[in-house]
Amino acid sequence: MIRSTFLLLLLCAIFPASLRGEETLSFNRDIRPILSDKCFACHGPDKNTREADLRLDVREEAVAMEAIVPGDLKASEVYWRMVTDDDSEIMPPPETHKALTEEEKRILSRWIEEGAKYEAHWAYLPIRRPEVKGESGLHPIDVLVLDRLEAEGLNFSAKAEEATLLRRLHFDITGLPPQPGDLDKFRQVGISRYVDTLLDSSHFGERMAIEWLDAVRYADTVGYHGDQNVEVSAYRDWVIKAYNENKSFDQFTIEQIAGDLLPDATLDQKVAASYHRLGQTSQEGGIQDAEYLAKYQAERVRTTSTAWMGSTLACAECHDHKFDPYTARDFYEFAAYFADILEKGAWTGDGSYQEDIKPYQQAGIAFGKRGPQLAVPTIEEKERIAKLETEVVAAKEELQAPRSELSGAAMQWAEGWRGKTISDGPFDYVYLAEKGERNGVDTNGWKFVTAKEGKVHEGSVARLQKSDGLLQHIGKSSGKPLLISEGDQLFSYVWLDPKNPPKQVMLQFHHSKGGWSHRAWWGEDVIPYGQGSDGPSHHRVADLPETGKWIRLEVPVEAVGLVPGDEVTQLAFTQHGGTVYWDTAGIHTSSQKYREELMPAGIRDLITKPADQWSEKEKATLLAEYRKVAPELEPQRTRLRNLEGQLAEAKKAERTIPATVSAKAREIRILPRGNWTDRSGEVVQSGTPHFLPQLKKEKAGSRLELAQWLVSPENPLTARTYVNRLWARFFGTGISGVVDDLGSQGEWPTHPELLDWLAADFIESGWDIKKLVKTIVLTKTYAQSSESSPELDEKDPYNRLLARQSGLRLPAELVRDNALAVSGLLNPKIGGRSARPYQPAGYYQHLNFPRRTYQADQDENQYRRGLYTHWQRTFLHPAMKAFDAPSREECTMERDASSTPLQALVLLNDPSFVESAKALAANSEDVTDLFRKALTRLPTPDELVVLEELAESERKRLRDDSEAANGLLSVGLKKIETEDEIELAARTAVARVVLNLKETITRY
Amino acid sequence: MSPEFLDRLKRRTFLENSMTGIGAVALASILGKSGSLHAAPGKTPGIGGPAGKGGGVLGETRHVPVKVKRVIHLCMAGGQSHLESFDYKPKLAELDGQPMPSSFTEGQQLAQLQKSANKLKCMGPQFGFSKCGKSGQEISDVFPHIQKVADEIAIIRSMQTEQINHDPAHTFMNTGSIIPGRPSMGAWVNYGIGSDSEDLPGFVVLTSVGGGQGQPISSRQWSNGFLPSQYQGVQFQSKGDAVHYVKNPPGISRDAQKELVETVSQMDRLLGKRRYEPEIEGRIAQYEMAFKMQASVPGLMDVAAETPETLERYGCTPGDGSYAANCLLARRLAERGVRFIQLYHRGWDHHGGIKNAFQKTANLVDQGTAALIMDLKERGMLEDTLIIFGGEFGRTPMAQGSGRDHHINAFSMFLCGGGVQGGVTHGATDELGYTAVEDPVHVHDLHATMLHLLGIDHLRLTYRFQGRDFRLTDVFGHLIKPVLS
Repeated sequence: MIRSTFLLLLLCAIFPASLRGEETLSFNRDIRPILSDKCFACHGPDKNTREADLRLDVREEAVAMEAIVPGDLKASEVYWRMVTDDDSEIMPPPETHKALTEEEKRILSRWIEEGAKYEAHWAYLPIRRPEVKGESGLHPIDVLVLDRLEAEGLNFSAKAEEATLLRRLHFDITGLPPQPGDLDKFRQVGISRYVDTLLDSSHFGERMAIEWLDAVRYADTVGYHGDQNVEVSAYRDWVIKAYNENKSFDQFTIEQIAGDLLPDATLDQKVAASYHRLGQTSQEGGIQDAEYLAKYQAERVRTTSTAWMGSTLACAECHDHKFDPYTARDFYEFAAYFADILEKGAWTGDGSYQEDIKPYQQAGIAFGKRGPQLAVPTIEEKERIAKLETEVVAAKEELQAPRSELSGAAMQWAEGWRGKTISDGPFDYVYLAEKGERNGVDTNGWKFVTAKEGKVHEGSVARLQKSDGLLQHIGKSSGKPLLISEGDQLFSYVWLDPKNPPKQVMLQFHHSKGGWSHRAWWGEDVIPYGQGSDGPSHHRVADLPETGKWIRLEVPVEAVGLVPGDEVTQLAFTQHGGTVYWDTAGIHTSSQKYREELMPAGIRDLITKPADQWSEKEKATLLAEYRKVAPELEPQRTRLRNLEGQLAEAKKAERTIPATVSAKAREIRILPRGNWTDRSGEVVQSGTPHFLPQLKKEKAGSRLELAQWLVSPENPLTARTYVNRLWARFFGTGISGVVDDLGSQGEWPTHPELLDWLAADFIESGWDIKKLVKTIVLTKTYAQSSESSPELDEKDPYNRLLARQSGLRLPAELVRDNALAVSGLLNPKIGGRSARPYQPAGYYQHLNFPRRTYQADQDENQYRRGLYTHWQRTFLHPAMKAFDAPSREECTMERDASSTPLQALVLLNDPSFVESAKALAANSEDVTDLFRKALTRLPTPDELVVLEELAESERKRLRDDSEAANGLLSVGLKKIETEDEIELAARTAVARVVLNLKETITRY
Repeated sequence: MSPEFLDRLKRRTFLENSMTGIGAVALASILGKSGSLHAAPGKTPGIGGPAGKGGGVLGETRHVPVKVKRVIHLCMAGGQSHLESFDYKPKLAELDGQPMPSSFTEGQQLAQLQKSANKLKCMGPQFGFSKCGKSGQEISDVFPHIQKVADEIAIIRSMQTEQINHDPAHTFMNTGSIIPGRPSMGAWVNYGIGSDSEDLPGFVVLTSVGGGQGQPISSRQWSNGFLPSQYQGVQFQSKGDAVHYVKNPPGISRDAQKELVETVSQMDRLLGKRRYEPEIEGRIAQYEMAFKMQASVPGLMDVAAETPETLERYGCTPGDGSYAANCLLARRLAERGVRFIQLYHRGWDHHGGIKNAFQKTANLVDQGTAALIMDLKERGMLEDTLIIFGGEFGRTPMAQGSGRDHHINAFSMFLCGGGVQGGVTHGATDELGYTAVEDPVHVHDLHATMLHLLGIDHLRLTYRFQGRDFRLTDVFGHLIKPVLS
């Protein structure tokens, strides 16, 4: 048995002191909770709300004020304030509704009499591995748990049945249920080796990711206002991979907090650092940049300090912490670590970055709707891009392949150009050739169409304009103005639909200085621009031209008031009513400038001399130029163009993620009362909370420093927070019950030595997560039966002493995973973009900017694990929400585990579960097999009777109702072929029952 | 035949039995054996439903005399202009088109007008006002029906809030905090005193369709936050199934579903025989409740039984998802014991074209609102109902083109029902309606007053989360005593 005086103190965490007899009082266990809850709000760390200048959280001050006179109760002011009858004197004041109980008064009195000893708060003391001298064969964890149990007159429960333990291990480690045959394997290889296989499974990372994603508020939408989508799935995949590779927790931390700052940061490390960009952001019109920067900053402090430190540093945003030693300065110094992150507060036109982003853009960082973005293609995207790149190279080679017949043709071609330069006849210079950059996009009555879809004059697309009334399209070219020369004609090609001709068509030219008053028109005078007038600003050319064929509209420049030297900057194509295809527009000119512009640069010099003087190099240039236009190479060029187009598109569609880019640090001030408009507070530099062990400064002030501080062995909070939370996952409650607050208002651990043993072991192992998991699940404590008894419930209703395991309702994701897995529907793919399972129609109707319609996945993606579900912060998938998945608007360290009628409705009626039932029924030989697939055990005879009776009753009903079976079997994407619909539907009813059972959604 | 099987035949009848005990089951599970909700730190063990009679942490205890049993919050989302509704400003009419005196606006936070802060102009009220009822309360002529119930309502002209953009302002109005993740007021009320409904959730949210409702609304607004999830608001959809998954799968009749639900419970009970599993009965109760909801929800939504006179009074076509139809549903929910009913109408964000748009939106809410008040009154239910009418903030006296911008220093709401004086106006803004200068009422005060009318001292309804005792009113909140009867 352990001989530690410390351990004697464990006896009391859940029992009142009065039951414990008269052992020594502990400040942290017995006194601090009372002072913190009842006194510190007015007599604690926060100087702004401190009354009578008295603080009771610091012994020297309490003693100096004679509030507490150690050893002399009657001389202590605190005592008189506790026991007085006078409402104006008594403490805490009645209006706080925080009256001390008689028991609390007794404990405080005894403590003062015994000398009023203080201790630093347990969680801020260094982590020390306690010496555990246990019975042989017992793991230290079991020793520490058992010691406490024995002190309470309890003992471990019997070991869980093998099938139960197997199922427990599966849900806890991979999150997927055992498959048929796993039980035999488990028996064969033994638990240790079996656990190794589970830890080696790539589903381990998925299971571990769920809680981590809650903590870091990972979601697929921005949360605020329009709750727009944001692509962040690469971060989720990084978390899964990190767990699967057993990345040590210190490295896991460093990469998320400062991966981008590591030397030669890899793409993975940069993706990890996108952790800082997962918080909610807003693009609501009218929001203030500074206000939202303050929100993001506070949110980062909340998330980082809660997720890693189990601390409520966030409470110090407006004032010094009321219970813990955090000051408001600590809060803002912590916030200052994040001041370098390149971002805006308002992701609208009103927000601005802290510095000019041009240098970043020049350095190759792409900027999207939410600022800097990293390209992180999914595996499929990577494969597709690689394939296209190879094909492009091949197509280029094919185009460049030596062809003897080319040189002669190239010579002829060059000579042709020579001829054109000598002749001075006019030619067409195309100013606007529609290439369909916005192909298929219908904006304001026009769209690009291909020859398959409509009429095209030249190239691959034309522009279709269709309207009941006035319709104008303004064509912008490369940006270079069109220079007018003597005798030029302006032209544009049109095709008027004979079935729906316009009343009028008009060409308008925008003069670089004089505006739009240069118009030529055909048909009736109904377009309002210049209507009724005559002259160059409204020149009537002719009646509407012939319909049903391509017509070249042409007008001399002087007719629309343009003279040589004028510059046209834009063209407008206007029609009134009708269906019109518009294509190539430009100028018919003799301008030498444009002639040369049209001529390929490579042959401009060439044709100044005779062919026999061309050097080899010049000949090669000619050949290269010719390959670009040679009619005989058109198929090769088309193929290359298509491939390049596909590659560009694939690259554009690559998955991205908002990047954490370190830029000029913003100035961080203490915001008085958290008020972002108050600029009177002091400017602070980054720093870690003043009362915790400090890191030797190396990289002063950077996020890397914060990361290293978080995982330094001296940090008393990080390891405790992580192991405590992991413990809660395996046993239902943390060793300190409030996993997101290890501070004063948290809970004194039920097993303080165990918590420290685990934390110390974790650090000493090199923060080895898989080892920690394995250590815990191989203990006797873990392997116990989870069954309670009335006596045990009476003594330990929340199973804090661990005389048994806990039966835990599966988290939302696993409720889904289990149904898909046992039915054989599960798509086991790891990672990738988020998935969209079936969801009730119209659920997003209150979203706007933009409006959205949910499209459920129509392929294998429909059957992805729950953690891949598209996480819409403001409208989380109803099935996930019903099973207590958090919205992830904020860091969430622990989920509720409720049981509600809404859950029953999900399991009964959600198509995902109905389809799973159908597949489970179809994949099972009989009711017994079906049951065993779902629960890893055989049904009892009674259970079998009940299920068989339901099946029989259903068969009868379905035979009487000819449509019913077909109706039920129509649920879901996957059609199941069967010769006996009635039998399958009846079994589906049985499977629905099984998927609804408490046992099915519980890990015992 | 096994004894369990015989047992089962008897239990087949459970759904026919009355289900008065469900709330009690839920509560017992929440409280566990220690009788304290906080005994298990950081988490809530056990079982509860979104519905259920009783089920509140206060049990039968009330801190102050109970005036109302339920709350209907008519949320005019988007920020209804006080200057066109309940706060007539003749001086503003005089200054129409004139520069806004800078003494009002200097150093003040503006939303979209921030960019043109140096050229602000007054915009007069767009509608006339009349003195209405015996009390002579001034109400805009754009609300002819509400004018007729002037003597029933207490207008507050001195509301103030802290958040100038929709999303955080709604969050603040609903939760008393701007940090997402805090419980909404409906969740707080259900957590405190539970619900009287046996087959519907205790907190129901309805959102209406029609009328240019641009601003999104987030389900965060009816979230349970850190409270146990059975207290969350359940949004009834205006399209499709009113409650998600309330309809049986195709091919499954109500009888078949019933048999299935009973079989689930039977199997769960068999589990309970094999191992000590005290939560089984609670779970069975949840399944029964779910099955009942499958009938009660469609029954609630089916307003065919309402008389033509009633439909005419509300001016709605049943099932059209309109605000007026939702007002009628609100009455039906109230009749069924639902504790907190929230209606959102999102059409009030009038940055431009306020005259026409306000008229249009007012037409959509005026008649339904007045009908709800009078309908409840005639049924003797107004006296134990609190109606809260208003938006998340007001709008500027300054023009933003042809509209008004968001405004936090002043806006109007009205209260109506039990414990509230009808026909009074409380508080006042300055002569231009820019700032509440007389008896300002803060959002926290509204919350404190609402809880007070329900018999709850806002200081004493707390929940410990992350080491702190949280309240709906944070560390603020005063009763709006002058409007209380």
